[in-house]
Amino acid sequence: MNKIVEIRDLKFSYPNGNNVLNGIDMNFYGSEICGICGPNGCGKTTLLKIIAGIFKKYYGDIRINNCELSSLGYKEISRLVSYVPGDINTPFDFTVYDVILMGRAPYLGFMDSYSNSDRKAVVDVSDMLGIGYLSERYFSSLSNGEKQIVLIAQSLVQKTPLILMDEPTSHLDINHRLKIFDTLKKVSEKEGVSILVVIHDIKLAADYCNRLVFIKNGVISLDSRADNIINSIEKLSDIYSISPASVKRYIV
Amino acid sequence: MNNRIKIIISVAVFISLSYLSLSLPFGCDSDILINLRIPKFLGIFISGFSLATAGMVLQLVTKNPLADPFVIGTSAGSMLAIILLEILGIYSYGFVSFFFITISALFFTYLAYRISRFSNSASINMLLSGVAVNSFVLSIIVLFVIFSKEQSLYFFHLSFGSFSYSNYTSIIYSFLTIIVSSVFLLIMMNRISILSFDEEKASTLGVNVERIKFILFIIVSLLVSASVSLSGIIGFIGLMIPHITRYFFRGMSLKSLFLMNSVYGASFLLLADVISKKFFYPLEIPPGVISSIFGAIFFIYLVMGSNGRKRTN
Amino acid sequence: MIKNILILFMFFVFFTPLLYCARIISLLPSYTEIIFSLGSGGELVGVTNYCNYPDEAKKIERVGDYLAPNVEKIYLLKPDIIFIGGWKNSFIKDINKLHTNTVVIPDETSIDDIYRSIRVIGKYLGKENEANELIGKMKKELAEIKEKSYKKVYVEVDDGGWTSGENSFISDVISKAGGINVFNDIKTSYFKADWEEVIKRNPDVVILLNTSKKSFLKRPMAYKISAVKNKSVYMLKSEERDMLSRPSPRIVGLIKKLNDIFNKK
Repeated sequence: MNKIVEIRDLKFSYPNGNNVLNGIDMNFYGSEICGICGPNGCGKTTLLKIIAGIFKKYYGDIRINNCELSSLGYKEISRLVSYVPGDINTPFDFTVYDVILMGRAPYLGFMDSYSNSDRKAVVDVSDMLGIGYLSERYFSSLSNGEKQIVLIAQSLVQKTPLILMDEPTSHLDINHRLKIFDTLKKVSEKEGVSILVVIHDIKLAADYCNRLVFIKNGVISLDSRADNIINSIEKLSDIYSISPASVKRYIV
Repeated sequence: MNNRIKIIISVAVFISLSYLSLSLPFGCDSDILINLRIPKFLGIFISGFSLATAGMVLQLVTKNPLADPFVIGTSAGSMLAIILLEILGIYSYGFVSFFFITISALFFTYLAYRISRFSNSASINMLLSGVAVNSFVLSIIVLFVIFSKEQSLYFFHLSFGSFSYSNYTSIIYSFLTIIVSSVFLLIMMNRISILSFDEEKASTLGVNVERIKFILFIIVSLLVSASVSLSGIIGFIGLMIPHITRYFFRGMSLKSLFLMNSVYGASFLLLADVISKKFFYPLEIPPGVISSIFGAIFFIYLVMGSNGRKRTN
Repeated sequence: MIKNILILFMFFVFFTPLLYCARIISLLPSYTEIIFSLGSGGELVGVTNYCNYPDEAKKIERVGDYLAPNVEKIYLLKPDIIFIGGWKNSFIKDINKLHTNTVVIPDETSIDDIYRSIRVIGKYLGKENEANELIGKMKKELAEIKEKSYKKVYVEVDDGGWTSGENSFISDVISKAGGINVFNDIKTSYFKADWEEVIKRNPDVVILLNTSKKSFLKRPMAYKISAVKNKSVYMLKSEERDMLSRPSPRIVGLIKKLNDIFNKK
């Protein structure tokens, strides 16, 4: 299993002074779906945005495919990392097809145009996720759940070795949740992609992720294989400040 | 009615308006046609094209459907430079003047942008900071005019504009500007599209957001300067026309949208000219008056429409 | 007994003029000039910011301008009579509240209207004789203009083609000076004229009030205009500009000057 992301002593605080991350040490590997969990405001989303290259002023080392993140340009990062945000609001008319096609932007040619293989990729991913019928609909008119699937499609089309997802299924019903994660599992195994998912539903995470990482107070509190999580009830009760009995009910 | 038919109809309307603008009032000799009417037509075309495009770009960059180069201070920035050059007595139709006018417009536009970024509050968007910058620049202009000897400057340049004095020399740089700007915009259209979708996603898709924004501000400044140097300040074109174009051409690609938008901008100013010539000749209704009347009504309609009604396009 | 009558008589001789020695406020520069011409300049206690003729007027207290008079200042000056123009602004109500004699003089759109204004002001200041004398002098000077060239004249009041149509003061001045306003078929008194039409109407003389001669000559096809070919494009000096925009007795001098210009071969 190859190392895709290497993080050493990552510290980050917002301009208004809040310390969010206080020394994260982590590796992420290919063919792995890693769930990132933790109490609200513990820095999960921030961590993703730093790795995605959105926040640039961090302390510490981050290497993606052995390249130092801070030395990479926007385009290089976009071919290594794709990012699925929690939600997006746009006032303009974009069709679903347009939105997914944007995922091919890292590969735009000189005259700024998409190629035929780009368009084919869009169709393939749409079919894979079962949203072909949404292609001509306006993105802004979709339900929150439909929008989420489209955003996932947008990042799959980007074909990066690393995918970062921030609560990608929060608006989806259980049926779609399972379908999405089935797809993600397939993609991860087949393409050797490393997927980091910020997720609140620990049970779902435990079923689909290979590994679960918990962040509390800006550091990694627990890093366990998913099938082993049952042995960390004490730790979990401490992280979430709930009773061990609640932990058992919540995970099992 | 699909988009292709709409395009043909729009172009046909544009051609008819052009013909009317050139032929009204009836009866003119070739001298007048070549020396007065054609330059005036070119001036109107360039101005409408530039302002509509500048408005569309600003609305995409700020993701604010109310953005317009007049409101956020770009036009005022151009005007300040023109007034200064006139007071110093060195205003000409040449490259140096045009350069200063553009730099001035860019400075104040970028200033409005930086002010909006500086604030951590999400509500201080560029529109608000732009309004503040615009008021500031207009006040400076008035001060200059009061203390200069030539108070007629104020009247001529600020009184809603006129294309009657266009000549081939005066339109050269403006014409070059719209060609250069259009080429750049067409090359960058997909990235602009992504930028207008979502800025965070744009950066993760390989778009250098700050750099593209800066380039776009330069283009907007160029376009607005092209228009203001021809005819003074004409407001609301940049606000209205992109909405009208988007309304008629739902779902069209951004590249085609940009071209149709420019055609509509030119058509609108030509319509204003035709109205003035048909109903008021030999009085001339300045084009800025007509655009302001329509624009203000349109603005109110926009603001009212955004209350309560969810934007499901 | 005769002594008492004599004292009474002296009293009236001295004080009667004082009865008419009103405290006057003028809210238009043209009224100020008329008041001075009638010899009542010494009774002016308040004038507008633009009252600059004669020189003595510059020393009188400023009470604002015709758009925004300082009503408080006017009140503090305790005027007996205020001369105001025929416009409808909100401050007229405020001024009326002062319970001072407020005389509204209607807008002048012709030289005859100036005679009317002089008469009105003269009547309220008890200077009817001086008024009639002034009017007579003005009429006589105008009658001295014998030679009328009937040349076509275009007057640009503000830069960008703003000119005056028929029912305007400027139009009347032009015709008294022997010229014909090229736009005297338009009933509007102030409007923007299409440049193409100016060229088509081909004026013989062009008078510019606020446009520089240089920028006028730079306009497309300006070379085609008769006035340009004959070098008859004139930009008025600021003093002359004042005279043309004020319906005051000085207009006669300007009319004569314009007459000379129009008559030039």
